[in-house]
Amino acid sequence: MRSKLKENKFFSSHEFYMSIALILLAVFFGIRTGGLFLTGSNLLNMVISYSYLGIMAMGMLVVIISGGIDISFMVTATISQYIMAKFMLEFAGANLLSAVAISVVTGIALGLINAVLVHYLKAPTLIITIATMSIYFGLLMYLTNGVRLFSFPAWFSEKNDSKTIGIALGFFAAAVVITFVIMKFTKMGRKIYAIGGNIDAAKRVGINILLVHLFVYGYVGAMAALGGVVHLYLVQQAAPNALYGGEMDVIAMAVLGGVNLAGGKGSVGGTIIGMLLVATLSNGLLLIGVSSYWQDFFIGAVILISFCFSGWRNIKNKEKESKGGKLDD
Amino acid sequence: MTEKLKKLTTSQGDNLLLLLILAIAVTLVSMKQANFFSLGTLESICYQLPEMGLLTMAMMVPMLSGGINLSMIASANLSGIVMALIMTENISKGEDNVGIVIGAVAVGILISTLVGLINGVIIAYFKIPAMLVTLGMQMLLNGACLVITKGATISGYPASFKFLGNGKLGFIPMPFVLFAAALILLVVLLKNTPFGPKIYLYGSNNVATGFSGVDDKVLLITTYTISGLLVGLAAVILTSRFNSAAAGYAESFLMQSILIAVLGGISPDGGKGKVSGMVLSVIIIQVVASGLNILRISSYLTTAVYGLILLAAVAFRSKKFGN
Amino acid sequence: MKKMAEKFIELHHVNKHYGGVHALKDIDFDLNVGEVHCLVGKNGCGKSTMIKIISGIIKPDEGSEIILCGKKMKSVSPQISMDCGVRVIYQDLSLFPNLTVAENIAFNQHTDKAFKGVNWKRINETAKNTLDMMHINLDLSADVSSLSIADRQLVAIARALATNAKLLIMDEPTSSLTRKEVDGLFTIVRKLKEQGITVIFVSHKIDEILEIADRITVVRDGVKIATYENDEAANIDENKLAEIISGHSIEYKQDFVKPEDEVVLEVKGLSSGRQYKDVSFSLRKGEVLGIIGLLGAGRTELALSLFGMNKPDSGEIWIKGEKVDLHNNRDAIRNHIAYLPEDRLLQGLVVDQNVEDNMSITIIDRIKSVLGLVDLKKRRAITEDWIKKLDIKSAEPGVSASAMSGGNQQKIVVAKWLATNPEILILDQPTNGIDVAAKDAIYKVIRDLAKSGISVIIISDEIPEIYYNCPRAILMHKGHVKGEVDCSAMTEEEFSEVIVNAQ
Repeated sequence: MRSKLKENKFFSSHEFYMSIALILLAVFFGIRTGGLFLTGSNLLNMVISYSYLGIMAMGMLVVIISGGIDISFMVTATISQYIMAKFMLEFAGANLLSAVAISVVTGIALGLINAVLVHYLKAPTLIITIATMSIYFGLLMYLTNGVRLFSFPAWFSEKNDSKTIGIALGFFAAAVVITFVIMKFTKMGRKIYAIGGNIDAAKRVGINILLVHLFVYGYVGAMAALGGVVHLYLVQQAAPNALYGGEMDVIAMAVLGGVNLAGGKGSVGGTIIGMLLVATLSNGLLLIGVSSYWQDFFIGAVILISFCFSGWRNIKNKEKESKGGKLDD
Repeated sequence: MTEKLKKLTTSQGDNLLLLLILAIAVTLVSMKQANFFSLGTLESICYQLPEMGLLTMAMMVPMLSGGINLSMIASANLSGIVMALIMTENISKGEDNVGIVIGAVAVGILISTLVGLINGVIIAYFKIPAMLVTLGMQMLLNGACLVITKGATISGYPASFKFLGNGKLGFIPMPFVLFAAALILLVVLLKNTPFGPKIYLYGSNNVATGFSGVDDKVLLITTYTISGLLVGLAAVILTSRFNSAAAGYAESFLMQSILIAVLGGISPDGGKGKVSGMVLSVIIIQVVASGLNILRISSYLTTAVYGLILLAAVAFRSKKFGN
Repeated sequence: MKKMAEKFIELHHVNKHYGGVHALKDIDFDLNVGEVHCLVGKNGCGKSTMIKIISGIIKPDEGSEIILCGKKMKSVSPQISMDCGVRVIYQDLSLFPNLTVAENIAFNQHTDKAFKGVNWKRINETAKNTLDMMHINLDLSADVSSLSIADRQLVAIARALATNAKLLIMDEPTSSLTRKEVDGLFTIVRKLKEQGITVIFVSHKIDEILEIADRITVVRDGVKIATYENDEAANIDENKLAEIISGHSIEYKQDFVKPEDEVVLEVKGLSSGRQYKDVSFSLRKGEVLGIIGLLGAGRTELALSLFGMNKPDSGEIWIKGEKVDLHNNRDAIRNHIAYLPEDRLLQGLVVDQNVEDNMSITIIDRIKSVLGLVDLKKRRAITEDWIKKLDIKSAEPGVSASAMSGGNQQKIVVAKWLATNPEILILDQPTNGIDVAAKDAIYKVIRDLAKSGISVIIISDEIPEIYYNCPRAILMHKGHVKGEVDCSAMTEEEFSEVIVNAQ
């Protein structure tokens, strides 16, 4: 009886439909590119290129589950990335560990500022993080004058295939595993779900909301910074305005992955599917020769259509829940 | 003291408070520039204020319903680009053709209105949060802008079009005339038509409003279409004053419009906010912008300052003040 | 001679001021270990304040004395309250709808200070053991959002028990339960008693109180009126208790208006999914019809179908001899049907907006003047007119609805619907959460409406409310119409029995 319920839960779940969509999309592109899309090397490259966004999507997943949103994360990633770049260029003794540490600490610090504001200002998190995004970005551009940083020390700039896979996929896998473990097996993770589900009840059972906020927004900052590290490695330059504007990709990954904007629901697996969907779409369009100018247009259209699809399913589900079936005599 | 403060946060008290802030801002700026409080300044403000004013109005209406419109700037850019194309393709440089200009302006406004309509339909029929829909729409529209312009800028408009953003009707700057007209219509809409009470009640409690026989789908679609229309008007003035159109323009204007709306008393949760407060807020931010300009603050630092002001406005408006 | 019972908690000379309001006046109260004690009184009488003081959420004034866990104290801290085993189950249950039954029940494992990870096995075990102890069966892996309200209540109780509760305080636990579910709840309460757990039951439902309570404490205007033993010797009956609670003696009697012959509404074989099946009845002009049946009977869903907000799968609705198809509530309003929803604060009124906006929203499209603009003067006049007609005290057009009392808020909702000139008025639980005096006022309004030719359908689960206002009542149980009753032809006890037998 119980396993049947679990089975039903999966098959009617959002993740299931999105997996089907992913498979269909992959098959479509596979056919249209004469199999090129589905080659091992293409798929590997695709995942590597999108790994940094996937890492950030893990942070986005956590904050949306908590019932909020953070739109400043891209700028946080940029700042962390920039500071890391400066560090590598100016400190001879820098190594990967210390550089990543500096980046992540910066990200967490910026995230903690968001946490305090979100907790004490009692305003929509969208508005608060739009404000901090402007403050961070404005200061960043002003202080850096838009100057790009490049020519990093050899241990960072020397790229080879295994190193790239190690950094991109390694960090991505680490982000995925850490997020999964936190959300499923730590008390903080379950408290995050609780706050997203019913914040008043959470207060009543004695959950320290401030601590949860600090953790959540600090985590977004950390994941943003980690994504920034991978991005820096892939493009080998830190430009203050490079990542700006890419927020929607990450949010789309989480939303396509089934996270509920009202809070309380969402999974790591779903977000990975969301990431693969966005990556497949972009990569596939590129391979079949669609110019990069059309990318945003198509991806935006697909995102809107998939929102409509899940919105429709939600409406139908609610109807079924309240009315479905027949009454026996 | 808190009793007095509480009194100040009632409606008229609210406007008085904003007037006070305005007075302080004007005083501070006048200290840096002696002739700030002059007719010349007033005139230049009347040229600059309308675009921000119209954009804030376009943000205000969805906010009253408890939503938001994040696709505004992308939509304005698209309208601008299409208008620019129509004009530059059909009117040779240095010449003029009022008929085509009118046609271009009509198409530009129509495009943004249509975008608003589509936003409204998706939000109303699929019950998706406005934030998500308008964010996705923003991406799509930005993409459309890139597709059309291929990254290029389109500039060089005929005089009759430039007049809309830079000319005068008698003594009054043309953009201000458009802004004032739209403002009057908005006030009439909110105070004297059924739409007004409906949107305020819906923003405050959409369930009870639905139970009262209000068609929420029509209401939402109307809301976002009006927003789109206002965006279209803003696009005309923006394009005319920039004298060029491209993808990615005026991005910081989105945050600014949210800032002005929140400062002016429009609650992002819906159901609260008056046009009078919004107008005062537009003027305040315009004065602040002039002040920052006089101090030669870079545009990036200005963005950061606006972010800080938005946080201050949120704190000022938050429930802690009994609002 | 009664044995002196061990006390769980004692309150002596407890006072509480909120600003200038003297909410609790010199309360002397005690609780026996293992008893079921009902705390009863109308809204605002102070019983919630008492609960908050016992659970440690608020502190009483200086000079108050509380004896808990054998210790004397001036006030109870939340920690002491927790440690002594006090658990409160609020009316909203405070559950996490997005989490499973098991996780909700064992949730305290997430909030304890231990630095370990989440042990899902232990969570499921704890949940299962607790449910077994209560002798109930629930799917541990189901999301709480998918449960009925009755099942959610069981989860809330299980959660309290899983944390070693010694005193369970339940705030209006039966307001959303069917008769059968109430029985289930009472069975569990009795089991808890057997295990030595003390229960405080806050309720306003007199018949249920008399059924389950060992002792009853009546609070009125912050004063403890009396504590009664609920046994044969005391001989408390419903009317007497109602009188003590409200402070006035209410003489209810049937005072029916004779309806006209014209049939205004006919429902033929209406069915809607799992909600209700094969419902048929008719309604005459000026008639007051009752639909009685506890929650889950399908009454609200039926009402929403009559109001166009819940399209039925089959069956017909005929209004004044013509078949109508209601696609939305605007269709219903056009057919002169009005519906006052059950949840006044969420569905009936927009609390943060002013009286005028609330009252005129239903007719705002009708009071247009030239150019399609709203006739503001007319709107103001209509608002002020209704304030006078319904005697809505302290109401002014520009005042926020949040400043009004529950009874006056309900009057605003009534005014809003009367403004649409309805011929059929459906009232869903019209006096929910309204004190006895205001209830009476609303019943008077209903009588006057019926006299003026408006047909009224009252949906309620309160037996006296139906019995004294409706000459005819339809009984619903689990979606089926079980029968029609002529209330004027029987006593209230007989009516009560018919209802109970129909469940």
